[in-house]
Amino acid sequence: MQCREFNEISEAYLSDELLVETNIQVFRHLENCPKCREQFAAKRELRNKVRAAVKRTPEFQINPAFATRLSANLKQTALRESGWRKFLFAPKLLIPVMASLLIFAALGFVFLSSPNNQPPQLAQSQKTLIDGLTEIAFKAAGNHEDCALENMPMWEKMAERDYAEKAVYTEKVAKPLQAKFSDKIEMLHAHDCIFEGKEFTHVILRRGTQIVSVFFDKSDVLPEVNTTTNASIICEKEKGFQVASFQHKNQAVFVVSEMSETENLSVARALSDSFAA
Amino acid sequence: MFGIKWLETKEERWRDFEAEAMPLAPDLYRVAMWLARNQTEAEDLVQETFFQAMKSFHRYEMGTNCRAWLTTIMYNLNSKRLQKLGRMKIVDDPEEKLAETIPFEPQLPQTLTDEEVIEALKNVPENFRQVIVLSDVEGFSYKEIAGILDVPMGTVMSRLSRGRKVLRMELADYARNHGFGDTENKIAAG
Repeated sequence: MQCREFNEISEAYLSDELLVETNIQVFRHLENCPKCREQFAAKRELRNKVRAAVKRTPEFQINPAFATRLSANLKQTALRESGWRKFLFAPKLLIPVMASLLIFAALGFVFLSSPNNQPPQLAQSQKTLIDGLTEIAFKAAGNHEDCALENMPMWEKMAERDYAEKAVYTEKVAKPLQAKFSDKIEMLHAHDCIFEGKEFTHVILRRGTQIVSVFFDKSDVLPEVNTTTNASIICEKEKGFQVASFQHKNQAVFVVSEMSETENLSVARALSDSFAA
Repeated sequence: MFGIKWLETKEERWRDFEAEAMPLAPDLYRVAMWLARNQTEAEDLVQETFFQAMKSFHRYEMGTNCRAWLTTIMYNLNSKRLQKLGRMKIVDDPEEKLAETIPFEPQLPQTLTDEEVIEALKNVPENFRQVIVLSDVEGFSYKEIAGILDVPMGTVMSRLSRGRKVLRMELADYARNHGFGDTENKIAAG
């Protein structure tokens, strides 16, 4: 190997990018050429200095408090997300899962359509279950405080990002409200979360200066009803928040905020009518 | 669960993500400081990167190069951020032409402080600086850097070679301006 040849590959040699055979040729040349050896040693020393300088300089060290906060926020988000939601939304599985659901739905329809398999009349137990909306409303209020308000800086940062769930709930929740109300309504985030054992789909909006949570109860245990406009809406005050709840098909929906009862109810009414349309 | 990602519980997924990705936060931050203008921007970029990574974790193969994967995500996010802010430069590279005009290997000062090295590196044009940081500081291979920056490997090699020359020139200029070169000559002559 000549000096000119070595100079052409010295940068790659410095970066450990050469093949073993070429490295051996380089070793031999450097053993016999003091000039190349000295120049290469200087380049290697500079490379080491650059690496050491960056790693030692405080400007490039992560703030431990930031690292701790980051880990905590990530963990909180990770453990709130439903494993089943990830399962259902995993792209490779979406089509087979949807196909399976369609098949089961078709079989169920056939089964239930049989005269001997009509659902029973609404029993007292089911009326009691509807009354249980109040208990869930309490958890929805707690979740609004614990999830939406507590982590608002994170939701605001994530408001600019696009993902599948955001698109779905922008169409379903944000847009009907934007069409109905003149003040600014902004979609911040949509995710699944669990509060005190209750699993919700949680949509976070900003209406003017107010943060509004819309919760969809994921348990789907309510008897299916045909949702119509002007459906009943229950208004309560839980933990200092206004909670308006209504039923859409077999799902309980909760609107939670610090707006007045009238304003909170108007949001719930707009959503209820939009879902029924 | 059973080694099948989509059967994992969220606790298992977090445990995997925490073990694989979180220890790399200091490395990511170090690179972010060269992309962002200040600590706050760098922290924002790192946070966005990790949230995006967590969302895409089902696509990552455990035990493969997580650091390169995270760094690629960060560079992609940074590009989008710069595009949004209108700060994205057109890729017609006058910096390449600058490196072509350096005709010789300058002498370097014998002693260099960390501050001098960092300052010189900050003066290296961005296209070259990115490759020097990823290669010489972070130890990525040419292939990994090509993937992170989404450029051909030949471009990585060229920019690294030229960037190192520019860095040496910056340091030699510094030495001349601060009289180091003169001192060394006097000692040699003496």
